[in-house]
Amino acid sequence: MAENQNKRVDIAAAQAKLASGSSREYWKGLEELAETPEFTKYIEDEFPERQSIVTMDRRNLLKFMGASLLLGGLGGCRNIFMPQEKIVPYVKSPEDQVLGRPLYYASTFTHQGYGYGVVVQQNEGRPTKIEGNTLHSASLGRSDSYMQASLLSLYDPDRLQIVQDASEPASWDDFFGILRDKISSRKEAGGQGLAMLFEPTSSPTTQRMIAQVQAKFPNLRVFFYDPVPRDAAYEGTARAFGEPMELLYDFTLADVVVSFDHDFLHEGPGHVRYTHDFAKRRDPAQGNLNRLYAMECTPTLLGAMADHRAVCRSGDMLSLVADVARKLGVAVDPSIPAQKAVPEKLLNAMISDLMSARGRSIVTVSDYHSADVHVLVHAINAALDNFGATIRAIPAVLPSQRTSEAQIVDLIGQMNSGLIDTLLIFGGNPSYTVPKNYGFNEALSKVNLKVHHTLYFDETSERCDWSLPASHYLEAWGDARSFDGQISVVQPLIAPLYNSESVLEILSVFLGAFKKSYEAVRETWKPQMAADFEKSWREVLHNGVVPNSNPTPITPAFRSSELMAIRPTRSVAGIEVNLRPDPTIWDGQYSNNGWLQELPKPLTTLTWDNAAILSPRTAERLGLDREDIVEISSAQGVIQAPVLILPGQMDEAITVHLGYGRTRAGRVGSGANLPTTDRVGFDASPIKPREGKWSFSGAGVKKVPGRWTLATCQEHHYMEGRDIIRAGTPEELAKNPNLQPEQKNPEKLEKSLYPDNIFDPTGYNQWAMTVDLSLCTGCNACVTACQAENNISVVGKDEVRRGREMHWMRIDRYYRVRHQGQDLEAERIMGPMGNSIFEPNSVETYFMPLMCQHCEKAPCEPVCPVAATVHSHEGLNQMVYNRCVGTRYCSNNCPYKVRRFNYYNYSDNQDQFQRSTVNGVRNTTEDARQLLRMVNNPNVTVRGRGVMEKCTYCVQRINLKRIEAKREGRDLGPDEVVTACQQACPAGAIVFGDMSNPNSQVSQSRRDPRTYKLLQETGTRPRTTYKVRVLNPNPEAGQA
Amino acid sequence: MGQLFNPKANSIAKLSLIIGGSLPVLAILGGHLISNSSYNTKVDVPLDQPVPFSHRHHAWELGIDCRYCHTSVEKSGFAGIPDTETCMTCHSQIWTNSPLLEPVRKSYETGLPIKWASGESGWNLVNNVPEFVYFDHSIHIAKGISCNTCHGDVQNMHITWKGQNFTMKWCLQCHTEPEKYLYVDKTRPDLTPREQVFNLYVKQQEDPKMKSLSKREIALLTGTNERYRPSKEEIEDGKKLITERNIKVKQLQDCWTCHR
Repeated sequence: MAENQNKRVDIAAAQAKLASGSSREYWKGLEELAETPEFTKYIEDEFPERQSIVTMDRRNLLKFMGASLLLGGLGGCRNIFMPQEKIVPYVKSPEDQVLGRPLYYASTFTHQGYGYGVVVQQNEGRPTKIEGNTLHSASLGRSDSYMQASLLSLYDPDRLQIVQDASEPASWDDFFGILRDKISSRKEAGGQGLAMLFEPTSSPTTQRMIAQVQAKFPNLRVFFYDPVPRDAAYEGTARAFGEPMELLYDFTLADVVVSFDHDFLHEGPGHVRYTHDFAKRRDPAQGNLNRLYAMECTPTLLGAMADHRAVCRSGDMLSLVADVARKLGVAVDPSIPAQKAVPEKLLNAMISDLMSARGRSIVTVSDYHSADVHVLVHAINAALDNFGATIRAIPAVLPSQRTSEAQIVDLIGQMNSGLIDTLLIFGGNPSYTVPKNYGFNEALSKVNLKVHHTLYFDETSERCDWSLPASHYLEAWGDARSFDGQISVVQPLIAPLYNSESVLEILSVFLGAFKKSYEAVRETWKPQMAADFEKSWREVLHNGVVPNSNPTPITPAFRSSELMAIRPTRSVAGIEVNLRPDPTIWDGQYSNNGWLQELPKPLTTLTWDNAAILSPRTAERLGLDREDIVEISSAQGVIQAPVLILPGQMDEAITVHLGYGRTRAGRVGSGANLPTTDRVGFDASPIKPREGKWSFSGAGVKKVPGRWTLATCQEHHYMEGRDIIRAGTPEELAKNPNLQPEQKNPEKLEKSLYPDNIFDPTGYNQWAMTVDLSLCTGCNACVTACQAENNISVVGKDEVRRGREMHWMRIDRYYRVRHQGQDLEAERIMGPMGNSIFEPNSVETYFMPLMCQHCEKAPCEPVCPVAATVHSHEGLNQMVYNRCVGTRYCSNNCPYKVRRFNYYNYSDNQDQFQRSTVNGVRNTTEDARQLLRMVNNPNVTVRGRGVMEKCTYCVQRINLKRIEAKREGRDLGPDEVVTACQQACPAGAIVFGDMSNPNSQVSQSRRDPRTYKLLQETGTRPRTTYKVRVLNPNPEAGQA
Repeated sequence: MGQLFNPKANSIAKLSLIIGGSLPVLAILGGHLISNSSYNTKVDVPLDQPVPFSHRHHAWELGIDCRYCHTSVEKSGFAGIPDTETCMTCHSQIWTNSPLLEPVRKSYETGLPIKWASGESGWNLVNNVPEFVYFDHSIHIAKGISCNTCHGDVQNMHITWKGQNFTMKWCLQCHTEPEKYLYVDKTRPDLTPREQVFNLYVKQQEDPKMKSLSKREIALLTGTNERYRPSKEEIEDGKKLITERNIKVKQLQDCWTCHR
């Protein structure tokens, strides 16, 4: 027992609690369930690790009181102490600019080479907010966290700012001079000895110019490398259909969706669009519910959304998919063994569902599995007649002749054998992303002239002779294609902040004279557009997309001859390790982005770190506790990682994410060598298996001494275990539409302590919001959108650990392990206990976005001694920063725990830069501050130290729209105001509007019988209401 | 041994009690006076500018409309300050050799902002509210609030100064009792509230001595409206205007109307 008390996560105690039935139905994490002393102590105090007034001595107390009294009075004399402000008029006003009003331009954000159409807001020349472009098929006006956060990267003070020749400042002319010499000396040999390394790109202009360069220099070598490539998908389609293809899924038509480890809601080129389409089939009001089966090896957002989720080791995925194929009548090599991972009953139910949904189902697999698995999945879809119905295809968008793995191995070989004299690396960071044992860095040192064109001076730039600053996508022209081939223009909104050029500009030097990217892009499109090029070009710039540029999707024909080539994989015993790109910083390219670093990763809610994710049972077996350090070894190498225990994780399997452990990312992202309280993750690539594989078995796992502090958010803002999540099947909802628990005195439910006449709503718009838990996938797009819109500070790892993150919105994660009753199948899976956190298949995950509920009878209001939080006539719970004195009583009294306090001057100190490592400097320079201020929304106050803040329902957007309507002498339309979270949400889970208008979307949404209020019994009458999550399990499947 | 304290000590003790007691009062009173003085508020203090631009000359003597330079005042929260090009629309033709306009011509030639003799750029900001106040010009104009109500008698300022102290208390006078500040020219009921604002300047131009103007109109034009005591009838009219112009008075006092 004594030993247990020292445990950070006491899994046995958690399970005992669960088995005894004394726990809540939904729980937030193992720490809560086990009620370890550390956790209890942490949540008992509203403000952990604060300085208490009780512990302060009398003299200091008097000193502080006197000082605050004196300083309080000085506020009235601000003009005496404040410097005279200056205002600088334009010399010539820009076209269309009305000072004080934003302009919007269409552009394109690229991720993994694919384009996502965006509309960027610009205030007086500064890009300040990114939204999706409604005309672009990959975004449909919605967005994701990467897109939202790319804005911060533009203003990143750690970007490479000048051309560097071996760390000496130089100029572009110097570089072009040297480049031209090289080109002319190698011209005779057709460019022999010259090589270029790109990230895969879908840009028609870049592809055109590369082809032209290759035509001019036939012996110049071009390589593409992406650490998270689409190779398996391309190889799979090439083998199944004859050529590499992009598959386009129509989730609106699919009644049954089966995903083999493919989190299409969060990853892959079409994820924003797919989330949007998928959500259309999860709202019972909008028609038939679809049914989602997820078979995965590590918990993902998709698994959390699934009606049935089962875990399966990556190594067993081939036999699982083969078994499914067999059951659907596909002829598969009989030597592939039958699968054992997924319960037979569930599998049979899934098969019968698929059989009855021929042509109305989709089966997908992720790029992390081999081309063999892909071919089998295509065979399944072909057997189900899905091609041409729910799945169509277009030719591959990215260069796909050779796999990334083959190309990088080839490049390393050529460098080693001295075939390459000059290497130009455009973007990417191969010195970091290529696993160390490939020997990229050693080979690179044998190249005579090494040039890195990059956004940041990183691990690769360190090893190159020249580092050239690259332009951010909001600074240079370009183009890109989306997952379905639609072409859109990358339009800059600001002149380069630094002395940077784009890829197109450097390539132009190979083709002759230096040419700006604008000219290059126009040159691509001029021959392809209508006769009146200038007119159509302007239209393209306005809309952001090139009209009719999507290739017509075809119905791919499956070649069953490929099936017999699939042989069983050799199964290896021992612990399996799965590698994945990080869910927020991807392969490390977003390392220096504070918004993404501090964004709680879905499911783990981890910030600023990656971890070795283990299941509770495996952690017990290995005697590992949360934050212990383990050494994981493979044939390739060894890493050390902190332990994170995650219910729902596959047993005997570890998941680690790539992208961390950067040594030269910038002041935010580098931190591999700091003490563990400040360290920013570990580099997982040394154990990455070769041949493009994403998992391996037989890993050595060994505990090493030490503790690695992790900053997870889930245990923060604890709501005392009150049941606030509600979820049920259509049958359950038919009986009780919003699953309202039985009340002894239903009439008392809406009774409130607080007076009735807080505000008079007559004649005013009444704002309200609904959140549909059925649609929310937990993707975090809203959290980043809110951060960008409302100037929310990044606080840094140490502050997050203390529970001081500033996000106004959070996505709470809950678990449920269901009681199985008489189900024999479940008994077989889970043993006599009936329910167990040790059984990954029985863990269900739920998400709940939570922000200020804008209670009509807000408990925070009466406790504020200075009336800094009061009600508006439109029903908003107003927070007035300039009146707040920071007593924090409001936060204490808030049952939803949605208020955030500025313990430090986070906004001005830019704390994410405070934990700096570059040259050992630990502070933020004034230059950096100046630059980072440019990202701020001018319509929202930047909060300082000692001030409480919280969600405002985007009051700046309400006010601007109201003023606009009043100026035009009309009433505000019911759905005219759109909040930042609502606009970003790809699933449309958030609806906002005027509930006093019965026709508004929000009024309609509130009338949905699934509506319920959080903690209704407290009588707070929240304006934000939630809708019960609908599950659609197959009754035949058992509750798996 | 003699007395420790002589009789004077009594007086000194009393005096020091009085001084000690009145010091905090004096300090608060002094602080109040200083914070309300133009030393702090900068009201009525003309500020030096890189070019000695005269509103009196341009807006009054020449009769140029406010909106010629402050172009976004009806459209946006920010009224806008003119770019160099706006100055040069006239000054490329007249006063082309004036030494006072040298910084303007130089800016136009070089494409750089207008500079002080010292080489610094940037005009001194005359009217300013704290960063947590979100004032919107366009809505005030749309509801017929005259420029001079807040900016003072601008058309009579050679070098511009701040017309009002812009304290929250001052703003709230109108935000609690807008009927005292709303005005309509009864001879021109055809005009929209926005047009009423600018019509008043036309009236002043037509009658420079303001003899035909009502006391209300004179108060508005001279920026002394908060000292003007409207008659009962005017207040009744103002209340009608509140309904007519769809002004929601209670909402004017909601914190998030101005702070967010």
